[in-house]
This record gives sequence, structure tokens and C-alpha cells, in this order.
Amino acid sequence: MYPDDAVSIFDLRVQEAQQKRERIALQTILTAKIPKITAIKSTSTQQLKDAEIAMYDKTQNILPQNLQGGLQGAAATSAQTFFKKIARLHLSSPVKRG
Amino acid sequence: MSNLDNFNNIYANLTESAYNNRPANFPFKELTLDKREKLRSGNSVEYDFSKDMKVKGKVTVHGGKNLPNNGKVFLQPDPTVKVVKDETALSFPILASPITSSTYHKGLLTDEKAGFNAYFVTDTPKLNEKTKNAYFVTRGSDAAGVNTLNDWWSNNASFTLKDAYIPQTQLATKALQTKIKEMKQQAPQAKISITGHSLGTMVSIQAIANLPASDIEAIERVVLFQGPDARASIQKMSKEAQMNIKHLEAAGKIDYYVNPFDLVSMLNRNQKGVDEIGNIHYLLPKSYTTTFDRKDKNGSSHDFGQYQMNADGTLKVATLKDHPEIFAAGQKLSAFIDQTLTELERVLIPGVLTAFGVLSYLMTQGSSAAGLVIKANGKLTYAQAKAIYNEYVTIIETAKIESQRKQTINYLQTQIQATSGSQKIQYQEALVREVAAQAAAFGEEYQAIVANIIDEAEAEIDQVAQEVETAAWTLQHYLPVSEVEAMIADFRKEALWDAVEAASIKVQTRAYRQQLNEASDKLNEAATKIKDADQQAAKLFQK
Repeated sequence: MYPDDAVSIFDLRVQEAQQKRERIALQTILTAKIPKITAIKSTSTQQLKDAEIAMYDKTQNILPQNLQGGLQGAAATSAQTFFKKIARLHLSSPVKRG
Repeated sequence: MSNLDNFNNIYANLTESAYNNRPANFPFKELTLDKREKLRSGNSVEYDFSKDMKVKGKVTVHGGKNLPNNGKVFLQPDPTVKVVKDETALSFPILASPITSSTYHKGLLTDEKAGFNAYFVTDTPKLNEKTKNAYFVTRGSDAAGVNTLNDWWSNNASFTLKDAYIPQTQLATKALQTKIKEMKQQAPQAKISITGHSLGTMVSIQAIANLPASDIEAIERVVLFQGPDARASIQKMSKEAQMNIKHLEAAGKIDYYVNPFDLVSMLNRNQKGVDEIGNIHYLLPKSYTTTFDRKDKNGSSHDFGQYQMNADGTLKVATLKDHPEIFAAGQKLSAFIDQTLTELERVLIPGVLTAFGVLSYLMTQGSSAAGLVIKANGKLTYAQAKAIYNEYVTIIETAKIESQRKQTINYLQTQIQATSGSQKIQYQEALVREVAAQAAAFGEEYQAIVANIIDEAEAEIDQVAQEVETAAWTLQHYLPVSEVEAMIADFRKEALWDAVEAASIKVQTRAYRQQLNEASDKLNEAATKIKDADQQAAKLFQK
């Protein structure tokens, strides 16, 4: 082995070791972010589900019930149908991972 | 001033007790002579929050149930407190003449000159191996009065306008760090919870951020009442400070309770692109008042008298299903504060009068805004000042109307059953119009609520993506760029956030609102026809 080769092999080993260290450090940072992303998804999913249920409840139950006695006959039926025909929304969290 | 009506929530009890003139008081000057002597001699003072509080034989505050340690806590002495001479005149630009004070109290937990008052409370008479829970309680501003000007001028205003590291924080950090050290040495089983109200929340969260990372594990919970979001101020601090808060958030240990009608609670909230600190709970207030309203029997929206408790001691909070108007009001108030502060900053002369000072003045003197116009050097007209006040009141009034609509509807339905003839028709018309208004309000409220959920989630994802990007390129020296790109690819915003889904949600909620608006229009038309048909039929017999 020539001395120059020894130097370059040494440099290469140092570089590889540094790369390995950086790779591990970066992977640690990335891994640490996963629980946060999971939490954002979980929170937003629950909030959107709550909103979806609440909005549907308003058109299917609350508003038709509150209208009772206000309108009669065909008008009452027609108004109830109008509310109940409003489709349920599908609100899924836009967070992709987690 | 309006107080808690029961002691069911330990954090609310402690936070309220940190103020002056409350049912249970921690401030030294409020204590009886024997209690003062106890503290002076290095002993603690016992408080039992399970007991009813009576004034002249009448129960004014009901004792708490299901409290930790059955409601017993011990206010610990602060042996470092000394009376310090101060010949310096405190001068505030808002005052015509300066305040002078010859002495003040100063110690680890108290610095009257700086407006800092904290209390260390435990569940045993002394810190020892039996201690399980300790509490660090920071008082907020008593009021925007002359005696507390230092709180408002130096701390609130600088925080509000510049997201600054507020002066009291350095004192709080030192005090908290010292108490955690004592706890670790003398009470190894104990955990500490941190609580505060108003200015006390800003001091608390900034103090926690500045603790050494090794102290964060000693924190059991952080429960903060009616304070602004402090994310922007934390982001200006060190990486370590930001990490401290993130660790506690990830463990679900930070809770903020905010009143949606309170200017201080809603400051810095619901801002696009800002991930608010902790879990945010919207309190369900007893009544509909402004921050500075003192006439209501439950007090200002900034006060404890507005709190409602569940039987288990938790605070009653608004839910998306039952109280959309509460969330909508909170969001509107946040936007109103942002917009008003920005506008006031633009017209005022910096250093002469702060925008928050003007806003506070406006709310206290809303009906006589003329004085404000003078203070604003004529740059704010009376009409502008009055308009700001009116907009604030309208937000609260709108929420009140929506909250009370349910009772109105019940009343009208009962009257329809009980009456006949033209009176019944009048009630029918009124009912249909109420439901029409309710439908329109639901559409508007839920559209705003859902948009806010999406905006907040997107802000948090933006922050994660940004942090990964910054960390990766700061760290990278030897790794090939292509490898770093590949490693972080799954953490870029486009990999984490489905923009199409987000847009679809907004489209769906817009359509929902439009359908409810259409229903509302039809109902109003039907209401008019109910009345018209009756009148036309009547006319047939009059000819």
C-alpha cells in the first residue's frame, strides 16, 4: 500500500463515519416528528368528526324539531324534507400520515 | 369582582386565591395576623378547599368535592422576602404625575416593584418524602388601575404588541427553578403543577420554557386560565425553550381555558399559520359580558365568577355540537383584536400610547370615547373609537342571541299549543322566523369553525415541515444532498398535507351554509305567507 492510498482510505473512513453519524441524527429527528404528526392527525380527525356529526344533527333533528308547530300540513312536510335532504358531509383530516 | 361559586377545581381555586380580596387569599397582606406570624416563622398556612366559605353565616362559596388530598393545601413561606427601600419615582407616560414609593417587598416569589407575585403550595405542611403534589401559582394583573400600572405597562403591553420576553418571566424562572430543586431534594416523589390567570399565564409559560430541560420531567400539569397564546413569544426564545414547551405539549400536559368573550383570552388566537400552545378549551360562561363589565352579577368575562363546574370538578366547556355560537364568537373576537391592534398601531405615535393601552381604555370608557380621541392625538375620531367598542359588544350580543334562541323557540312552541286564532298565527310566524335565523346562523358558525380546524391543522403541519427542513440542512455536512432530500421527502408539506382534501372540506361547508341560507330564505317567505293568508282569508268575510 502506498502512503497516499492510506491517507485517502483514512479520509474515506472518516467521511463514512461522519455520514453515518449525520444519517442517525437526521433519522432521530424524523422519528421524533412522527408522534407530533400522529397527534395533529388524531386531533383534526376528531374535531372534524365532531363538526360533521353536529352539522348533520342540526339538519336532521334540531331544525326540523324546532320548526314543529310553526308550519302545518304540506308546508310543514315540505320544510322538514328540505332540511333532511341536506346530505351528510364527509370531513376527513387532510393530514396524510400518522 | 366576581368569584368562583364552588371550590371543585383545584387549579381554579389556587389561581383565584393568588389575587387580593378573594374568598381564600394567599397574598401576605390579606392574611390574619396569626397566619402572617406562621409564615414569618417559617411555617406553612393550611387552606381547606373542601369547606364551605361563609360570610356573615351565609355560604358564599361551596366547598369542593373530589379534590386531590381532600382539598387540603399548604401555602409555603418565602423566607427570602425582605423590605427593600426604593427612592426611585416610578414614572408612566399615561400619568400626569409620577407615583413614588419608599419601600416594597422583594424575595424569591415576590417583587412588588416588578409586579411579580407567585406562591408555592404543597399537599403536606412541609416539603418531604410524603409530598405528592406541589403547585406554583402566579398572580395576574389585579386590574388596569394605577396601583398595577407596572403589570400592564411593562408586561401586558410589551407581550401584546411585540411578543416580548416579559420582565416578570426572569423572576418566575428563577423562582420555579429553585422550587423544583428543593422539591427534588426534599420531596423526591412529588410532581409540580403550574397554574396562573391572565398575565400569570404569560409569565408561567415563558418561565417554563426557560427552565433547564432536566426540570421539565418534574412538571405534572400546566393549567392556565384566560391568557393569550404565547407561541410567537416562545418562538423568539432559544431552541431549548421551544423544546421544553413541545415536550410538555406532546405529553398533553398543557391546558388553556379561555373565555370567548374576553379580550385577554382571545389575544393571539385563531391566527392563520400559528399553532397555539397546548389544548385549548372554550369555557362556557354563565353570562355574556365584556372583559371590563363589572355590573353583571357573574362579573367580567375575565373573572372567575363566570366559570361553571361539572360535578366531577372539571370546568364546563363549549362543545361543537351544543355551542357553535361560543366557538364562532371566540374566532370573531380574535380577528377583531388583531384587526383593531393593527389599525391602532398604524394611526398612533409609537411610544406615546400603545395600541393595547388604547384598546383597554376603549373598553373601559367605551361610552365616553371622547377622552380617548384626545389621548390618541386626534388620530382616532370619536366615531372610530365608538365603532371599535360597538363591534366588540356586537360579537358578544350575537352569541347571546344564538344561545338564547333555544329558549325562545321552546317558549313559542308552548304558546302555539296554548293559544288559538290570530294569536296562534302570530306565534307561528315568529317561530318560523326564529328557525330561519337559527338555520342561517348554524351555516355561518359551522363554516367558520371547520375553516378554523383546517387552518390550525395546516399551521401545525407547516411548522413540522419547516422544522424538519431547517434541522436537516443545519445538520448536513457530509451526507450527499440527494440522500438528505430522499430522507426528508416524506416530511415535506406535500407529503403530509392533502391540499385537495382540505379544499374539498371548505367546498362542502360552503355548500352546507348555502343550503341553510336557502332554507332560511324560504322559511322567512313562508312566515310572511302564514300571516298574509290569514289576513286575506279574513278579508273575504269583511266584504
